Amino acid sequence: MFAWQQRRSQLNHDWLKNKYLPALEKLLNLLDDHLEDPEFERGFVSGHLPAWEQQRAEAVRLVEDFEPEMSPRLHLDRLPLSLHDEETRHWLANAVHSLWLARHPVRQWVVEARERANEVEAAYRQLREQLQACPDTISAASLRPLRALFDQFRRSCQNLARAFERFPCEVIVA
Amino acid sequence: MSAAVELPRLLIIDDLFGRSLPDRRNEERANLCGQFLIEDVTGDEIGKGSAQRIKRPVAQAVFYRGQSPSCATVGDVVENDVEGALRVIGAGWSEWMPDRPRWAMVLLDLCFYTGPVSAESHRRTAGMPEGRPGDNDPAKYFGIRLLQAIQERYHDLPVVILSSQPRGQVSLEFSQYGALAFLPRSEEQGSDLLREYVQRYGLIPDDAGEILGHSRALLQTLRAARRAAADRRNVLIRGERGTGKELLARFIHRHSPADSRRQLVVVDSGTLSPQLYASQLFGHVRGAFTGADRDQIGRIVQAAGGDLFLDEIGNIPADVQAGLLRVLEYREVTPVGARDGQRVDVRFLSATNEDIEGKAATGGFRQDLLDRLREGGTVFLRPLRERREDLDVLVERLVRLAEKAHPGALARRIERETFEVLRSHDWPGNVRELRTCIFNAVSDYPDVEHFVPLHVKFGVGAAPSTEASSIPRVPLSRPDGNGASLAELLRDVAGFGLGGIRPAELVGQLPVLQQAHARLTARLLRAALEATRKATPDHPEGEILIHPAVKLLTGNKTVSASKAADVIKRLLGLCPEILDELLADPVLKEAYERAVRLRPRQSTDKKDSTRKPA
Repeated sequence: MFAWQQRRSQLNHDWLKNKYLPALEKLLNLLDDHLEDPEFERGFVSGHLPAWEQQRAEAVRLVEDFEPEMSPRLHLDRLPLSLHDEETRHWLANAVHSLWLARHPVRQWVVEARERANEVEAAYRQLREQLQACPDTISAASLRPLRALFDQFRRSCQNLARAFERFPCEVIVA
Repeated sequence: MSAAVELPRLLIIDDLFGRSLPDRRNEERANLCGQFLIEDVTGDEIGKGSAQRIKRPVAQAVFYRGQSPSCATVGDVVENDVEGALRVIGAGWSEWMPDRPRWAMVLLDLCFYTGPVSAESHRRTAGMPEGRPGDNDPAKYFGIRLLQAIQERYHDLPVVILSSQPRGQVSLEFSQYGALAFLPRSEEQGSDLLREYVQRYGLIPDDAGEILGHSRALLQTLRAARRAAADRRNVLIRGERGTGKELLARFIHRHSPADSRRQLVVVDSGTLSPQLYASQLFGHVRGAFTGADRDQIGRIVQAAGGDLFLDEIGNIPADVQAGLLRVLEYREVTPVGARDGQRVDVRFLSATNEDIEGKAATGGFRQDLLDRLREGGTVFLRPLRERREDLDVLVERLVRLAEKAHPGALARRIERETFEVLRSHDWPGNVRELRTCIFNAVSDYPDVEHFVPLHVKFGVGAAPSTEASSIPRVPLSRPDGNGASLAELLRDVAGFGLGGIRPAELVGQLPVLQQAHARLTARLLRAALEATRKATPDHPEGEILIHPAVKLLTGNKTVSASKAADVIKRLLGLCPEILDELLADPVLKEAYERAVRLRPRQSTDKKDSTRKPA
């Protein structure tokens, strides 16, 4: 597996879909009074929610790294194609890369994922601004007025997860 | 009197959510439960921090890692554990117990990480390993391997995939190996979708407590009934007398979409006189016949917008059958004596304890009408003798009802021996006979505190059944021509003792045993093919149908036609050297030829499981 795939798995599967989104969904259910979990809201706001700030840079890098790191030109650096002379590998790599771009909506995937990441960031900032205006005591009651913002943030995270899923899970040659 | 609502119990097999942590709560699991509104009853989180409370859970769940060790720390090596998972599944599947309900459904993850737990992987997620190459390769998902194993051992256990992996990677594989649906972990409104899947696929008892029981047979009936209830197509209920067909019709009505649940009108065809049948059903106008001194609305119109339960449809006179067919085809009722009809929207829930297909095949019932009455499916109610597991809870309920019905009757304890005696009876009159027996026992002995075997009298109020069972039965005969039930035959086979055999007698006997096994299996298959014949204009004697036969034989209604063909080929090919002998039988020959036409190549399941997803 290429490093980019590993990174995507860690960010999108292990963190975003297995940890971050379920916690967000749980918070929304808590705000809708479907469950109780003492201290969860406080722990969520102070510990869980800010995890986006740590993952944001990696999410952006992952999007920008897709084209260079998952291009089929990488096969030219591996056996047996690496046995070609330098000049052949150079033009062949460019040709393969151009074909790949022509045949698959690579740039579109990148643009969409970039936009989804920006939307997450925008929704997060909005949420954080409102949270700072909240009273010191974080509770379901104090967070309930922000439900729509939490929902918006949740949707933007789901959209980002879907955008990451659209990237292929292997290096496409043809 | 309704029982307390029981929550469905799920088994969730997942490496991340199923892992135990020695010193703290599994927060990921708590969040998943909060997301899907599941009550965690695994029991390994007690005393570990604050308890989450789901106010209106969709289900309870037991979480299992599917790996060993279930509680891992730095230095441990985590490995997938198929046999361990199958043991956990089996413990909650083979038998229902009050303190250990049967699994309603299994939710299964796809990607399980294995290997050593390093300091770094433990820091990222406590107790999780680094993962090995191939763990997140769709072609090698442990979840698919486990799904295959579950399908082989517990094929009628409902399984739904619960995963954050893209569905498209595995849609073919999870369908091939019997998973019923895919629930994305990051699904918005996940709890609503889970609730829908539990209702649609789960084996859950009647939450209203009106149809009592936890046996697999009953739960499968209730599931089929819930599915049939989902739309407005007509449904046929098959079951022996006294099994509760009207109760099941009410269950279907209750589980219908709210906007179609106006009323349920009940018509017992057995109690209507043939002369008044049409009038009762379709209505009549004044003067239509002698004694018709005013207009009368028929039962079908009374049921407009809702459901009409038509019991004992085998008793419907031929002329009324024709009129009923017109109603079903044109959605219009014309009262007796009237010129014009009236549009109606009615769903027919019909029932019979007869072999109605056989009756239709011989012309005693209109085939086209039967097809219309069962266009939404046929739901089978198994006889009580096939769901003895339900007896205890039925007896308990009936005793309490009988005590209430008899003023002054003392509350009594049902002794263990009494349960055993009741379980030993075959109950040809089914639940109705059981009810009569219990009520008589309480009525005859109102002043006792113990219900003992002495109080039980069988056969009272239950005439011996002379009618054919509504569930297809195939007569078997011993070589001496005497009849034998399948259960007796298999008991004979299983009970054979072979002690005291000299070694010399065993030499070279395996091929003989294999051939005997192959012949017995072929006969079983032939019986299933005969039982599921369907009369058609081209095949008045009944067409051989391999798909229904395999469904009947395996008890698996979800088996595909291609899989059924594979089963036929495999069963008849158990012993290749006698294949020609078996195919001398025309029924088996036809079935085999159909199977080969459908699946000309040998099926190789292992090869299929490594196919790359599209």
